[in-house]
Amino acid sequence: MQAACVMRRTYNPRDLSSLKIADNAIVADRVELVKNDGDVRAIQLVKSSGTPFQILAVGDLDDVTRVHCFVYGAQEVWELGESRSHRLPEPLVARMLAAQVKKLGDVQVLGLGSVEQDTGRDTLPGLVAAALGWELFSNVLSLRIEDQRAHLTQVTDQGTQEIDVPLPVCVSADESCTVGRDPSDEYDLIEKLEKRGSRKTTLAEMGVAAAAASASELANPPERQAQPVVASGPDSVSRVAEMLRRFQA
Amino acid sequence: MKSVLIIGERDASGAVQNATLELLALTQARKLPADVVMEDGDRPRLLQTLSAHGANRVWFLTGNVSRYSARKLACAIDAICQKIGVDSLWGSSSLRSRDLLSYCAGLAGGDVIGAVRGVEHGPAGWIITSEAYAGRVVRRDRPSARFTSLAFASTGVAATARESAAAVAAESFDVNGSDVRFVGDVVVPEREEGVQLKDADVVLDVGAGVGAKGVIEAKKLLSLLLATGARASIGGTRVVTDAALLPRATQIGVSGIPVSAKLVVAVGVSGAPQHWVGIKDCGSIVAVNTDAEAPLMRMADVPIHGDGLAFLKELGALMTAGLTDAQKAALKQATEAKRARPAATGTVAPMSAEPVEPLSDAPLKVDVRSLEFDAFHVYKVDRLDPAWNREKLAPLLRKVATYAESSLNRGKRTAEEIHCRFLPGEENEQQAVVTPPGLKEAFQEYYRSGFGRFFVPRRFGGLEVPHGFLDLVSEIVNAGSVTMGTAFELTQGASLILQNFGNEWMKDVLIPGLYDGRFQGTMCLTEPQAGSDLGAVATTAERIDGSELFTINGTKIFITAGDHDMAENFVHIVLAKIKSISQRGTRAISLFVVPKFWIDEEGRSGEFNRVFTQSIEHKHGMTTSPTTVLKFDGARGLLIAPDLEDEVLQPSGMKAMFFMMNYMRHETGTAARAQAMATCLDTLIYNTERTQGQAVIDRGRLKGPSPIFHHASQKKVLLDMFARTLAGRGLTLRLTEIRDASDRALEHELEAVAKEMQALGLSSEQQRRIAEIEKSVTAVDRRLGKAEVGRLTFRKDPAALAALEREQTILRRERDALRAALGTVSPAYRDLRDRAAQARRDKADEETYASIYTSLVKAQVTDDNIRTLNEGMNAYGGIGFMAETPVSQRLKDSQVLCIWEGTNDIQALNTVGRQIAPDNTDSRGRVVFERLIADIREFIAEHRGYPVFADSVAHVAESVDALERFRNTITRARPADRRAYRRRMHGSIFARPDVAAQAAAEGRWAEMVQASARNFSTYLAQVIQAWQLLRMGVAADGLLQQRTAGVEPAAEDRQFDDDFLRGRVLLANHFVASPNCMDRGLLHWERQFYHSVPWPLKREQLCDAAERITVA
Repeated sequence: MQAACVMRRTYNPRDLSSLKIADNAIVADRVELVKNDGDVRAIQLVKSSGTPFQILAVGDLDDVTRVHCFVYGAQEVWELGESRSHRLPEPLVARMLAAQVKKLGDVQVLGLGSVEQDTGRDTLPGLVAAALGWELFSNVLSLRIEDQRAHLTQVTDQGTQEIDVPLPVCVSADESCTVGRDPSDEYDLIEKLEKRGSRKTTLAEMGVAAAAASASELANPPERQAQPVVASGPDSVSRVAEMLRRFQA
Repeated sequence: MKSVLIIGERDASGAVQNATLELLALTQARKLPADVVMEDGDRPRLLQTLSAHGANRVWFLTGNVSRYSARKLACAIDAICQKIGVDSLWGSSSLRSRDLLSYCAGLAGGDVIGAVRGVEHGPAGWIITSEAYAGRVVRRDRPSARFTSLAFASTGVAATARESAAAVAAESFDVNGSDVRFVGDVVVPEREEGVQLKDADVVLDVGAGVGAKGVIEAKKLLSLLLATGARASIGGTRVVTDAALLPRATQIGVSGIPVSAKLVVAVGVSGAPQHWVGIKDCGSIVAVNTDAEAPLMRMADVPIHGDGLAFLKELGALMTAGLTDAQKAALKQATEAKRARPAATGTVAPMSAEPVEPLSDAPLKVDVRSLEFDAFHVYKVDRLDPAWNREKLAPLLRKVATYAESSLNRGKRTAEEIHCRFLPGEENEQQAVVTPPGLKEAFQEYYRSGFGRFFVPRRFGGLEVPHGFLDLVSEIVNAGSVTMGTAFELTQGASLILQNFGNEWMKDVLIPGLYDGRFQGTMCLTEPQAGSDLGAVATTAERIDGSELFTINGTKIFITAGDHDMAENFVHIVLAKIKSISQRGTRAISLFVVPKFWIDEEGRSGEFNRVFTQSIEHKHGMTTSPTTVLKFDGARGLLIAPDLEDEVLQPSGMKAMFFMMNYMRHETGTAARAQAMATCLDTLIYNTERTQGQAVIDRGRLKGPSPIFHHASQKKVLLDMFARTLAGRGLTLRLTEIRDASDRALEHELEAVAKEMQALGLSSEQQRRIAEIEKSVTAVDRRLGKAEVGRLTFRKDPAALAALEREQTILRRERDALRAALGTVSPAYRDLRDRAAQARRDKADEETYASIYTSLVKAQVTDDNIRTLNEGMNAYGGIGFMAETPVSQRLKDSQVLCIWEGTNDIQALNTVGRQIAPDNTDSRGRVVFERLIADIREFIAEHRGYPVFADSVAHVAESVDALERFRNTITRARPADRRAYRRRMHGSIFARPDVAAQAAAEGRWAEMVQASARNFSTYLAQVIQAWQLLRMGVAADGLLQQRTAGVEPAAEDRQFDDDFLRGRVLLANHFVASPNCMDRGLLHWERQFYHSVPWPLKREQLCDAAERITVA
């Protein structure tokens, strides 16, 4: 029995303030690709359960991330397809991941981040769980695997709850999950691992049909009109007090 | 899109959530028939509400729905979709809705769109508007799949109930029967009073700009609003919730909750994209900020420029004045109810004897760009070791910066208020110190992240990053917390001693425990009677018969990180005297490793080893660092020495301890530089935000006051601060540069020799013979080493010294004979062995050279830091003295850096007494000081006339000449200097003074040298600093010239824009030109040296009653 974890590379959210739309394309001044933070949390979550795992990267990886995947403890790293996830529709990404999980055979746990941190897309966990027909528990804080069952703590809209569920299961890590944060406690392996390569597989090899190009129209959000700045003082305080009083019962 | 099924949700009272009703309103507006599927409950009430809002039919899910299996629920919803033939499933952005919408889309093989903000029907069909990239991109999609799930962030349509509506049909759908088991109850997170954030009409949005007091005022205002019946709530930015000023569940923004209130009052919120996305859908936004240019001020409907805290207070007062009697009564009742409620957990620090209200932390920002420039363009830490290139090092640097900015900086002020706590009493004898909240987590994260292995050589399981890189990591960590930085460095220092002098057990078992953070390393030197004079150490070690163990007894004071609750065990490195030793002073000292809990062969901590924490020191600064008094009361210890029997006869503990001491001196300098750099950045930011008076450059072009930064006097101060701090970095990185280059050269040569040795193809007989001879060589070398140490011991005993020299001569002959014997077995082997030995000598020479920098780094950088922090505090004005301004705490913390690891006066004496002496030479006979001066002159020769640095280089050249003259004079390095000495002290170079007069003159001269030692070491350090800053400047100017020539910079170098590079040029020239950076006294050293020494001095000349200056 083993697990699989997803690794996506996304734009660095810190760079988003410079992001704009021009000619129906997204442009930014200085954009760096980083590991999707949620996926790293999920890797650490799965790793904390002691289950051996493989990493399924969407698209190709850079050298450092590839090395880090091994450093996290992955037994194998797969690079699925050629495009990074934020360029692909989530249903297609879900089909790719599900196909590869099935191909690996004995995977019983799939871990991934709740959100793609740059685009904000957050529906991949549900899509991939559905494609596999597995139980889905999103926003998980801790994970323990025993006797073919997963024991986990999940954040819900109401609070946190403890769950015991038979495998297989798809889990996404909550943003506040701090289990074994990266980079890793096994950095010394970098030297041994840097010559180790990942395994690549194409959509055709996975048996997944490529999706038609997205026809989204992209636009900049409407800008708020800047208002004249007023100095703090009795007038401005009275004005805000008046605004607040409108909401009295 | 023909028909819609809406995933309905209920609020805490069981009523239909407003978000569900808004979705229904949207279907009504778009004339789409809509069914609702939701958890069963109070059916009549739910049906009444849903029919009034236009639902077509309601599907009640019965069974365990509130604690659900997403798969089971989604399968049920999918079945309903198929049964009624809907082609679109809608829901809100709640966690449950998101799971179900995506799972159902997956089951149906359809599409799913998140963050939906609108649905319209156009000529070509339905158009879905959604957002991505934290609201920076608006997408418009036409659904092509036969089934589409939509997760709505907002509908833009208000829910309105119809007065008369037909009864709506209800159906049931059972979802029981799942293998999922729920254990215990749902734990509801802590929340503030008021309505749920997403349901509130009014939201008070609090940012870091108003601090803890602002949060308290905002909470008071919330109580007022609630008393008036307003549907109000409070939320905050991530910084505020991270600092535990508000519960995590109240965080607004992309990683928190989006709100859609009718009115948001944002106080002290800058408006970063990640936060803005959470409030941008609200009706009106009032923003109050001291920074009129903050992003939110440009987007708010009512931007108010002013102090947020004062604004909240005034607003609260005004609102209170307007309360009716009934509202006042409601407010009073609510306040009393709150007082009666037990305090919420999590926000009150559990450590303090008295509850301490969490204080806001000033944000920390590490200037990673500046670090990268020095690392990769000036000192090229990525060029030496192929295992560590820039691609690997740069992300690590950024990761450490993130760790410092978040984990280390979080809760720092609260921790400083709480201090460490000592728990006396027998029940706490094994763990007597508790650290403030947050430290343990940060400590563990450091080691869990692998940072503890950076320092350790690969052969011990470490990562062995370049020393230069490690120094920058240390700068970042210490900027986050000098307490934690020191704790980590002590562990590294202990590891260093064990790597070099420890036995196999120490290397195999203790070192991994140290770099994994299970064990804390400490340095136990000082005793009540033995401070700077370690020869007075009274701690004893007595060998346990028939064992390699010793019993240690004694008391050590000022032991940093000597006990705490962050690590599992402690590895104390202890100076003690073996009882049977006849030597006295520092020559009698040996070094022991004494664990607090005994450690077995597997590295497990076991029984208590009788190391008692007697108290913690009460300090002026660094109050979160546990500085302890430790009593070793029959504790067991192991000798740290390569040969136990030799060590028992001739102790060498001080030599080993100096390995750690010198490492800590270097790290202390870096810790100081970190404080200075963080203060430079804080001060710069404050100076650009704070306006006072009108600057000369703003006359006639600005109506109001100018930012402080525009005033010329402040610009000068900032330049001094930055130049001095970067100069400290340059001085330290020059030290690591030498060390890195020599490490790699040795490694490279030894690898080459090993390869060639393998290729020799020695027979087994040859190998056996070589092994025998090598064993003898090792024994002879060890005896020679001991004899060398003995020369110092017996230097005042001519007979013993002569005997020792005879022994050395015999040993050298023996060694030569052994070498010849090796040559007879295999000449090629002998030659290769000689090559390896030479490589090791070369490395030792480089270490000898590097050692001249160590005391300078410790003394100069820590002294400069105090000066920089003082200037920083002044630049703030009154607020600089307040506890919430980080510089005030940094100043308190930094003062000890000038004291520990040998006070800065002792460092100066080391520099003048040892390092610059003419007999401080390496194995090739090169005088260390002269080598240093030659290196600086080589740079000067290469850059004399360099266009933008011509004046600076000329001044450095002049300073080097003056420095060399000063040094030659005080060390009497040349015949001319010796003659000058005789003339000055005895009146003539031919004078023949009697023994007493000669001794008096020598004594006076020694006093003059001592008295001017601090000045000399300052001058020496500043000349090196100027040289290093000019190196940085030349590197920056080189990049500027490339840009001018049209060379496109590499992607990773684009961050070094023209302003940054010109800044580096400016700072280099400023350092040399400013008397606040480079002391002009060097050019007048003779006057200071010969005439300003306060000799003779009586205390009565300074004070009429000495008792007045006596300190207990």
